Parts: sequence; C-alpha cells; structure tokens
Amino acid sequence: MKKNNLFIKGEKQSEDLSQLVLAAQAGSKEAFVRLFEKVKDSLYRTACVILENESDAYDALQDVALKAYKNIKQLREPLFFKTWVTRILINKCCAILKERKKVSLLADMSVLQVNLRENSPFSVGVMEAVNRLSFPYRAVIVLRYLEGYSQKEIARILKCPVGTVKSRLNAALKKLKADLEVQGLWHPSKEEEAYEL
Amino acid sequence: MNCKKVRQLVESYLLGDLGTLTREKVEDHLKNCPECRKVYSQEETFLSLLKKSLNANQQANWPLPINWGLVFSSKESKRYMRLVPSFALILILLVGIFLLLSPISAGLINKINSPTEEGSAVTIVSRDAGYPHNPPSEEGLNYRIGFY
Repeated sequence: MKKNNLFIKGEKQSEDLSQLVLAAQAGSKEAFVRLFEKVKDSLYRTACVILENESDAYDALQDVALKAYKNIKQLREPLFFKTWVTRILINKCCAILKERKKVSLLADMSVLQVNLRENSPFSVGVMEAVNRLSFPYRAVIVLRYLEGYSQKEIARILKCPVGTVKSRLNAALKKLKADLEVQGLWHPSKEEEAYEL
Repeated sequence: MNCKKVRQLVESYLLGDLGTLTREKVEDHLKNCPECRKVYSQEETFLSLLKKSLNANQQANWPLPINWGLVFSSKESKRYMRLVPSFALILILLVGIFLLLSPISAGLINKINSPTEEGSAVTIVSRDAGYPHNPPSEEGLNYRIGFY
C-alpha cells in the first residue's frame, strides 16, 4: 500500500508555545501577543471558511483575542492552547451565524465569494457545497481538512464525544459528495488527475 | 477485520489518525480485498481534492493586525468593574452602622424603651377586651404594652 503524503497533520504545539502560555498566564502581555500571533492565521482561515466573510472573520478574531486574554488563567494544560482558543473561535462563529440568521443580511455575498470566482470550478463548487452545510458539519470539515486536527482534538474543541465527531464527519462527507455529484463536479470513478484545481 | 470496519476506518487511515496495530490490520485487509481498495481509492481522491480546494480558496490578504490596545484595556476595565459590587456592599454596611449609631437611631431606641403613655395603654386594653374570660392582668398588660 503506498504511503500517503498528502495528509500531513497540523503543526504540533512546541515546547516554546507552552512556555509562552505559562508566561502569559503569569501576566506577560508580550508573551500573550507572541502566542496569539502564532495561532492567528490558522484561526483566521477557519473563521473565513465558516463565516464566508472576511470582515466578520476579523471581528471574530479580535473578540477571540480579547476573550483568550481575559481567560488565559483558566487554561489548565498549556499544550492545549490552540484547541482551547479554537473552541473560543468556534463558539464565536456560532454566535455570529445565529445573529446573522436573525438579521438575515442581504450582503451575504461576501468578499470571499467574489474571490472564489478566480479559482477553478471544482474549488468553487467545493467551497459553495461546504457553505451549504449546516454549522456543525461545516465546523468538522474545516477543522479536519483545513486545519488538520485529529478526531480527538475536534472532540475537545467542540466539547462532544469522538463518536459524534466521527458520525458528523461521515455525514458531512456524504452530503458534500452528493452535492458535488449533483452539480456534476464529482464522480467516484474519475481519477484525481481528471479534476482541474 | 471485516470490510464494514475497514470502510469506517479508511478516513482515519488516510489522515494518519490510527495506531500502528490498527493501521497494519487495515493495510492487510486492503491488500486482500479489491472492493475495499476501490473504496479506499475513491476516498483518497475525494479527500485530497477537498483538502486542496479548501487550501486553494484561502485569502491572500492576511487579517488586519489585532488591536492589542483594545484587548488589554478591556481587561483592566473589567478588573475595576469587578470591584464595584464589593465597594457597594461595604458602602451599604457603613451606612447601616452609621445609622444604628447615629443620634436619630438612639432617639428611636429610647422612644421604644421609654415608659408607655396613657393613650397607648388604653388602646391595648381595648384590644384585649375581646377576651372576656381571660382579662389581662396588670403585669400582662405592661408586658403587652412593651411588646406592642
């Protein structure tokens, strides 16, 4: 069986990261800034896909920084900083989406969707299909395939059992495949090379 | 390991989420089962495309810098706000103690403990007049006057 090199797991949090967490918990603002800068890009990526909007993603990021700084002392295990801060982000994204449902913004066609048109039809189709998923499915897809978290880590982030993560992943993948098949973008018998990315 | 179990584990296998023992079992099964190999191949293609597509759609513009001034100032103001209930409680206690010890409260206490006036005694008697079989004694009357 050939070794699969396509799926490289997310960056492991280093010793340096846990030292920064300890310093931040001791009250060092500089350590907190350095710490947050390390995870900021990953958080922003996640927020962009979940919220489909750059400015909302930035607002979420700013709010996460604020909440993380206020509650950094509550973090018991420094190695879990990234999952902890991602959980704050997911909760924030969930709140923003709920708020958005209430307000029902007309300006939902965001900057992100404008940029999508520059990509290949398959990529655009995937993103649109991901955006059509409901929040719990979208969250697991983003955390798993964009950020490379393990199922256990996702369970920790979403505060749910690993079994729930597995079933959500399976269901989300099924929905994605079905959606892409309907659009004529995906067919199980096609080879990877047949798709233009 | 049967086909059903292997198909459940294919996703975890592709993302390197399995332990050594389970991984070897999955690999052994895949070597010997063409149907599962087909499923594996499709899953590999799909997940690879999904991952590439998600990454391809990432923004070229990274987020604006975080407003750290806002982050740090909010914590300080929160700290200050947290003390407000304590200050309020202390203030209420101090006002209570002051009122208890003040000349006004001293006057009120004296009024309660002072010998009763005749008018109030009459009132009490008229209240107890409802119990003809048990007329209040003089001592009892004094007690009731003090009580009321």
